[in-house]
Amino acid sequence: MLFKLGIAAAILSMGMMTMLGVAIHHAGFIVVDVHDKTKGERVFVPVPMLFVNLALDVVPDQRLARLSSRLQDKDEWVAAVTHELSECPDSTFVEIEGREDQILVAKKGGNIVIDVNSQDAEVHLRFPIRSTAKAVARIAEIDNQHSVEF
Amino acid sequence: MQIRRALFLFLSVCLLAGRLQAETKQWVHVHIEDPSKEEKVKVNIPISLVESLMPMIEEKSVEKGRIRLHEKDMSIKDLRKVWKELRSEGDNEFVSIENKDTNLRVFTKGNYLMVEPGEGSTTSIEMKIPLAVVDAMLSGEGEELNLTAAVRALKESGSGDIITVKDKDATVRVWIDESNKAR
Repeated sequence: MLFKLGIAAAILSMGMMTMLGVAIHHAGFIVVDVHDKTKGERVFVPVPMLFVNLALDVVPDQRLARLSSRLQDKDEWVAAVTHELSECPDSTFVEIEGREDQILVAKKGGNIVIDVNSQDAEVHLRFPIRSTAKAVARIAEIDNQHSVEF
Repeated sequence: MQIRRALFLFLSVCLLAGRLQAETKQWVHVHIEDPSKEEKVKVNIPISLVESLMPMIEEKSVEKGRIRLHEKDMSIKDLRKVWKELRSEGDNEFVSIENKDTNLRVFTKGNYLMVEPGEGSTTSIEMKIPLAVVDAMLSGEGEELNLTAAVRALKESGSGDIITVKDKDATVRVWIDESNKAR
């Protein structure tokens, strides 16, 4: 009996883990990858957007007031830009090639990718379009509610 | 059976319409090359995205996609009056600039405001701007340029080269087409 319960619990936890994995994968990751060429150091930070959006639900509105005030009345534009970015195919938007620096801004598989390669450092930034827009809209929404409360 | 056929036909039409819409999406391309500095800048952006971004541009001189120019530098009101006069005259050469390096002609031809280099000009500047874009840009009030309307007019004007500058130091090309990649 105990053995069967153990198996059921294991299956249940595996199922939950799989669902969580799928949800994290679906929401995407913000990735910050910085390589300092002069010091030889590297910082790699992958942040699951699912956790960012969950954190926004937990953080008190007052804490986000300053950030959200900057986004006031921009939620419609964010939605419009997100729609346009989501609709357009994978493309390179900006490509700058200099003697010492290269900059690339592109859309790759639902993500915006920013690559900067200079003599001193290599920076790679990636964020999912839809999940990031969702987070921004959430912050803007907080501000609207917040201003109504006051 | 008929329902299945109708559903299949409906889905096919939707897919085709979606594909056509995706294919006809216009892109604005800006390419700048400066061989002396070994620099290349390539910008490829859907016009509809530029249109969406316009209201976001909020600097001191830009408000709601409209540029407010300093009255001392240039009066948009006067420019609007001059443009109205010139527009009513039809195809005409407005300005001719001649100095030791540059020789340029500014004129309207059909639906376009054109800038072309004259003979002996070392700098080759070519511009072909739809008149509707200039009209839209000057459709703001007072000392404002209506950039959002200009971008919208540009989107409706179709594909083609807008600006081509060939100088001894740099090459600049701005054009619109239906591809997300540079030609």
